[in-house]
Amino acid sequence: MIISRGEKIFQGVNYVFLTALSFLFVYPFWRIAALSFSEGYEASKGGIHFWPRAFTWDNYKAIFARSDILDAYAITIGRTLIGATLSILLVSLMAYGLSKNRLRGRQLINLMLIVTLFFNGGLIPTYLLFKSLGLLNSFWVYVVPSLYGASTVFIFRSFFRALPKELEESAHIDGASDLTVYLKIVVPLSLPIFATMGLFSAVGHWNDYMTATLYVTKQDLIPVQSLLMKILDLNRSGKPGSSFGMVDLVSDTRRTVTAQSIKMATLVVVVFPIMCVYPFLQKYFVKGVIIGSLKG
Amino acid sequence: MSTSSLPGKRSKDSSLSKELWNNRYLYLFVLPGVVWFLVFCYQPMYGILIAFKDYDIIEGVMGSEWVGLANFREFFNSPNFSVILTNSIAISLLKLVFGFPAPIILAILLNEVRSIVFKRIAQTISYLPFFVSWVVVAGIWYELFSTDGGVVNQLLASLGLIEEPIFWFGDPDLIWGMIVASDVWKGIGFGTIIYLASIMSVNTDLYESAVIDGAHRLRQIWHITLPAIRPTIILLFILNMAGILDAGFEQVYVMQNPMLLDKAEIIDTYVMKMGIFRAQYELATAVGVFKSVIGMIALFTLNFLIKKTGEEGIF
Repeated sequence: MIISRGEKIFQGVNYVFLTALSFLFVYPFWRIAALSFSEGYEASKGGIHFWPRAFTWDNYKAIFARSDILDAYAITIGRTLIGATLSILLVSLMAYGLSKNRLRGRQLINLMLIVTLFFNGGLIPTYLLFKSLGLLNSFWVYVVPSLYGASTVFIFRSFFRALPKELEESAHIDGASDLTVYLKIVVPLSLPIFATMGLFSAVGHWNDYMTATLYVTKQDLIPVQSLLMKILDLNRSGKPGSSFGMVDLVSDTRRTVTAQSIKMATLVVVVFPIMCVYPFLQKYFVKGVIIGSLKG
Repeated sequence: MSTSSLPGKRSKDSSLSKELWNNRYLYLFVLPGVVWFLVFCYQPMYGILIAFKDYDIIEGVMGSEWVGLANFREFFNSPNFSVILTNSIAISLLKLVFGFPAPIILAILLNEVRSIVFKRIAQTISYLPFFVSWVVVAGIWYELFSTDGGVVNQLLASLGLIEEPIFWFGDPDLIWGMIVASDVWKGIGFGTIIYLASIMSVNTDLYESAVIDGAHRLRQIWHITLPAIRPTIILLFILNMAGILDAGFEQVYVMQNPMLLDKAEIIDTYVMKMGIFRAQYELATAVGVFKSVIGMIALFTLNFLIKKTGEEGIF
């Protein structure tokens, strides 16, 4: 095939442009990491762009010495594990039920779910509901309200519908109940969709900031995202460290740590788990988005 | 499981109770979900009624007194109304203008890349920011744009474009731009996935015969790629318009501060502060209802108009 000159120029420009764009997506993360490994006092002199200067773990030691970080981490890890596991279990069971024509009232339930894709009660009625259920300032506000979602049910349902019927049928003939069929046949055949939806749910839990902002005021119940926001807001309000004990913190770590270097290290600590699952996320991601957009 | 008298056999007996008993696990699987949807989705829909009431927390939704549209009137007459509405619409429209075409362009450019490895790496990198929270994005951007050693200000200063560092996240005149730019940065990679998928489904024969006919790249993009993804573009555009008053609740809340409220207070953040932080439930609910109604009207109008032009709508 003959490639014209114009085409060559287009290709060249395209590669340069996409490379520059990729840099814009990655560099900010890289820079945060470099700053988090630099002595805060050195970093405040400026000029750290790609590699840490005066390499140190002090920033991390400083934040992990604080009980509020550890508490917030425990809350976030707890809600992520419990929330994602329960959600995937319950949603998949419901979807399996709805995938069977034997289930009476199936159409009515489908309609009930579709409506929730278009209408919702809004913030305040939801808040008042949580209040009456005793979910405000409770750990369970992180778990229960996000257990189900209509689109997740539909994604699971379409996956189950596409499974080969023969195995299930022969198991039923052998006298197996629906529960046995679900556990012994359906789940093992559906591991990819369980992994995909489980990861999405887990990332959603990890990143959730609004739930705590809206429904939780008790400081020992806040997740890492809320704590990060508090730390980021420190200097912006013009009162460095006032409400946050940053002053003690600076004094007991040889004064290399600054409010800014603490922010950088906290950012890394919050993002790090996401980066660890990122290779898996992106493997299933494209598939998940496409299934979701087709069904939704 | 074997304690039941009818172990799972498909009974020919058509009596309802027997059939229900045989399928008992299916009903048990579905039941908790039905209860959950009734409680967590339908109960709040019923709670919308308080927008039309003088809500008394002890009397509850039913016991409170009807006040018609009084809560709506109060909102429309409040001095905040025009500011909040303007901010919400402006931010959302700016996001549409810049954020909507961006993933389409990126998808087309990625599709033109010959090297599969380069394409995959570039795409993978592009949706990295999508997986971090808005709080993290805000933290990263505050650092990049800070007045004290931020890369952007340093770069502009060394190019001689500015003398004093710009207070990017503290200047009310700049905050719309920062909100829109960070939104594009976070969402562009996610957006390309759907477009790339629909580009991939284009029959490669079309491109081959276009090459034989002597059509160069831009013509191929214009005559083959764009028409192929047009249904996807239209679908996403309609859905976007339904969110005409959604300026991005979490993002804007994270990025706003008291100095910026004239430009950065939007409907959702206003509802949250008025309803939850100040407990003016019925007023805040009315504002939320106003927002949903406008969104619905926008969705149906646009869907109608698009069908008029002969395209396929979403319903």
